[in-house]
Amino acid sequence: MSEISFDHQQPIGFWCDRLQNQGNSIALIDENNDIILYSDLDARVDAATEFLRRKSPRQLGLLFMGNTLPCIVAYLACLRAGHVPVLLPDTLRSDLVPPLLNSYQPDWVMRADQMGVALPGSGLMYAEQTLTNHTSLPPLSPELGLLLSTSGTTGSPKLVRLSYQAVQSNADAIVEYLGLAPCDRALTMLPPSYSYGLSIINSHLNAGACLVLRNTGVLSPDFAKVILEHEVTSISGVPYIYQMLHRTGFQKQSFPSLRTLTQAGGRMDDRLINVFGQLAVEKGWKFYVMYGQTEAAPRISFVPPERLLDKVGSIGIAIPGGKLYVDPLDDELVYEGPNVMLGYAESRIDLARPDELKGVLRTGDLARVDNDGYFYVAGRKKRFVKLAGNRVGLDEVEQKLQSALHVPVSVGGRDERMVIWLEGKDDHLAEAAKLLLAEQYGLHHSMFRIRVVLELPLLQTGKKDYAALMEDA
Amino acid sequence: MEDKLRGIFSESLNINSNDVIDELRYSEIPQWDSVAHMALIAAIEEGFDIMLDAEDVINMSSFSKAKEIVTKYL
Repeated sequence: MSEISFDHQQPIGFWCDRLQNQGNSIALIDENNDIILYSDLDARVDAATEFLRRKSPRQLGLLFMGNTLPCIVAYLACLRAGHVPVLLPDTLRSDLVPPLLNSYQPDWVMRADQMGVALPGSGLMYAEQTLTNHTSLPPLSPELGLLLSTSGTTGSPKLVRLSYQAVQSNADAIVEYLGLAPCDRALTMLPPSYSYGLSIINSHLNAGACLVLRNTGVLSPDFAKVILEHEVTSISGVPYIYQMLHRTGFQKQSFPSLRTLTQAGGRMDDRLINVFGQLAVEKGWKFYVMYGQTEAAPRISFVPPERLLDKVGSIGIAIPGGKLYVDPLDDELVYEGPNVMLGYAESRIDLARPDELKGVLRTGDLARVDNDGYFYVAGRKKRFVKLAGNRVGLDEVEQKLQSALHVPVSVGGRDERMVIWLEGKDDHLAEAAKLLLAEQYGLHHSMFRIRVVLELPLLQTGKKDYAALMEDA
Repeated sequence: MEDKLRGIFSESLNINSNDVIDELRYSEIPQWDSVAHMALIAAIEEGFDIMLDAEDVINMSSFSKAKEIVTKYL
């Protein structure tokens, strides 16, 4: 089927081009419990690819995704056709879409709940964006495969540019260190527009394994039933998913099919790592604690499960094909590998840019390495925290609150706990801030702590003293 | 008990206490998502000085269900 096109450079043997090789094995069990064989999936993706290619050999689009068959087919067709998708959550608030349309001038938008043409093989609704003025736009860089947001739900126009090569090499590395094989079956527990969630899809299809497509959360009464009924072998989660699993008695239930647990998306506390590490030993599961960034497509390192209990708190060792080291000048953790992004983008013209990082990613994390070569993240150079797995920029929140509340604000904290100090006397300020964070960022107030103080703590230089806020975290 | 529980719902989900009605259901309003649910569980446990069983954490899918469950522990 695949004709050669010269305006985009996919790797030879790109996994999404060889779905048909897995023929009669099961690729997906979809949200309606329908079984989709690899040969079926390949035919569906072919039909959708054909449609996109007929529109144009290479275009940019916004693809709103959930864990559903139509979305997975549309995503794979984009990769196969050479169309570049910006992957966005299908739950993104509608007022956050126009800024993305303005910044990126996409040629099309695909999502379930809109007017348009049903994408063949998929059924997702395709709508051309007629306002885009194509003639004035520079061509998309040939190696550019897809675009991801680093923030998840805030609709920030800052995107990560990932090459086809980065997607392929990271999927290969994950297959290798997790030992994925066609007999594996993962439950999709994370949004596919989120780099960790996407990597589970990519790596399993790359290995010829199966995905059980569900938006079922841990708190759903169906959660245990889905694992048992479909003989799921692996589940994955960000730290707060593990907290929920723990609180809902996951450890007391029996899941005979389960073999692998993976965790990423921010640092999980040592106590919980120990709980699940020991549980894994008892049950004979492999529990992988991992580290990554969207900027690396996303996997960077993992702790081999047999070393987990004596390396609690470590981010582990580099994935196959990658290299980690600590810059002796400033202690910054640096990663080198074929999965590093091409660079960031703020608008459509940035999509023409070449590879700006050349495989070297300065992570922004401060780290040390022990005598066994295991890395430990000790702090962050960049001012952000991860809340429920999503990256939240502290300076951005600070500025947003300052301009909305008209008082000086300091925002600091650590993963899973942001700290906000507002200067003033009025306790209503805290209520207003709480409301704004819920509305603008979808943050629940258990993830941050607000304090109204008479004067914000300052350093002698007059700059804000963020370390002083840490006592509240 | 019902008023106290309503207060805890209103505070944990950050919604008006008039909106805390029997038919209020998990995940049917954006404010009652999984993160809010875990905060709600912690607040109920603290407010009534009880420890909820794992299955009740999952079964507490509406305000009326919550009343039923909490009553069991008092």
